[in-house]
Amino acid sequence: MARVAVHDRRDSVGVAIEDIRTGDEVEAVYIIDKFVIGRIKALGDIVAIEDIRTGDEVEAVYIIDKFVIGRIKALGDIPLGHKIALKDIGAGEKIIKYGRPIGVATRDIKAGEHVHTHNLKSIRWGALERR
Amino acid sequence: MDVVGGRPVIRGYVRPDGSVGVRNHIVVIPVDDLSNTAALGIAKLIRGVVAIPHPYGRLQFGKDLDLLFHILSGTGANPNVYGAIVIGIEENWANRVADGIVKTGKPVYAFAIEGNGDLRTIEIAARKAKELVQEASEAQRTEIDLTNIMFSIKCGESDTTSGLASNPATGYVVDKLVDLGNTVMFGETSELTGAEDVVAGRIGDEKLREKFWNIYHEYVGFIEDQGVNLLGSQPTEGNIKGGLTTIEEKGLGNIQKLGTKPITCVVDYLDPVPRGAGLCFVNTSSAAAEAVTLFVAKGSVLHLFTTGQGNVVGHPLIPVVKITANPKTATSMSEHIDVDVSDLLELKVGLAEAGERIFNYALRVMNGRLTSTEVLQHDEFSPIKLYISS
Repeated sequence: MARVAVHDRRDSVGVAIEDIRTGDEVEAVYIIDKFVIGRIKALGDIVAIEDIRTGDEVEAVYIIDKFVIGRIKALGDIPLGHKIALKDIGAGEKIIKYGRPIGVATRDIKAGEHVHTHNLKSIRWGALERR
Repeated sequence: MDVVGGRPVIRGYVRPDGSVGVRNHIVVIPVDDLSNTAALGIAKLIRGVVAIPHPYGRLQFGKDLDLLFHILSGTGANPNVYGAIVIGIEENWANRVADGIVKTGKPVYAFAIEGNGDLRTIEIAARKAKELVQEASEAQRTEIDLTNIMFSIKCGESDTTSGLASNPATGYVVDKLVDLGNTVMFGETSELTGAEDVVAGRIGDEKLREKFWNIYHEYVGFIEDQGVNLLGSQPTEGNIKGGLTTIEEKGLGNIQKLGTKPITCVVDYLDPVPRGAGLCFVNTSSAAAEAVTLFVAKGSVLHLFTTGQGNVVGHPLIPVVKITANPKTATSMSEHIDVDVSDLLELKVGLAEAGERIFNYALRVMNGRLTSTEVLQHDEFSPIKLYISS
């Protein structure tokens, strides 16, 4: 099964770690253990806060499935290194990676769609563009 | 790995000022564009001499001129340099560059072309260069604890594999180097955008944090003052091809290579980086050759460079270790890649294993193994120019 890597449990996009073709079943995998130790502390805090408040289902999946978040069908080709939407994202909604906004959706994006410059733009320097 | 008393040991060159180099170059530094021909002429005649031509050095003034002198003198003063020859069209500026190098106690000779012509200058300087090369050939590598040595890091032609794998693995190495008491410089002021608050949050000292914010805001203000934006150049075409979409995504990927240690040093263009500074932010452009050139001028003797789509940058005086986690790049540009950590991306190995692979390779390079950049003659020397000359 094709796989996409996810940095943070709040992310709305995953990154293809191999070339993915339209219609492929894709497994989304947390890479926390493989992932920068610089974020472990922050992630730990976040996990602790969310554990206490909700103990939500995603987290349960994370623990039980050992890093497998879920499965999704690719709605387009996703080249290695490119992003796939893990859930439906509305136009104007922030797109989250590394647990932080990397930009906003410029139109509605369906779960499984390729997320790239055609449907995502910078918040920081997108603002400059309008001047 | 050689370990004495639990500490990694390398074989390096101890310079008269106590600094440690991992190469033993004789460098010929042209002060200005007009002196490139003579500098290259010397390098052609004398085996083992490295000339570093560049297009600047005439009619610069103010901070821009100070920066050029800082870079030229700093490059000659770098611990990877045994001795230096400085060539300028005029005597005063040549002497000024040499004065900045002579402080380190290493041999330096300055020559002016005016009144001599290229040919006489080349002859006199080449005779000195020959002596220096022969002297340097007797310098011995000695066993030195891997501590108090200066390194630098930067990524280029990044893609999402950088933020996922090669940068975190490099961050592992950075943590290790800093824990051992070494200095690691990083920069790329513009490419921290989207993660600048994370970087600021890791600066414990309040004054240094304020200095960082001033540098960052000055840069962003500069962009805005131009009435333009960087959307055409940041992220780059290569970045976008590799899956990166916005400066925020690039910045968040970028900082994955900073490891986890506190940032204990913040320096602007013209500030020196003291030995023992720890993890140190240096205000640099994000252009690969410009950043590496500035790090070397501030004393870095080895650079760890991560790439996704395949940046080929090197430097004439220091080894640049090229690391990628992109399996396509590792194959298609294999001659440029020193350490392939694509198995980390493919989830076949853990972060520590990939990090140790980079660390052990870097140790071999410190001990003398040539990097791809050194063998392929990637000798980019690119001083930063701040504004137009008079």
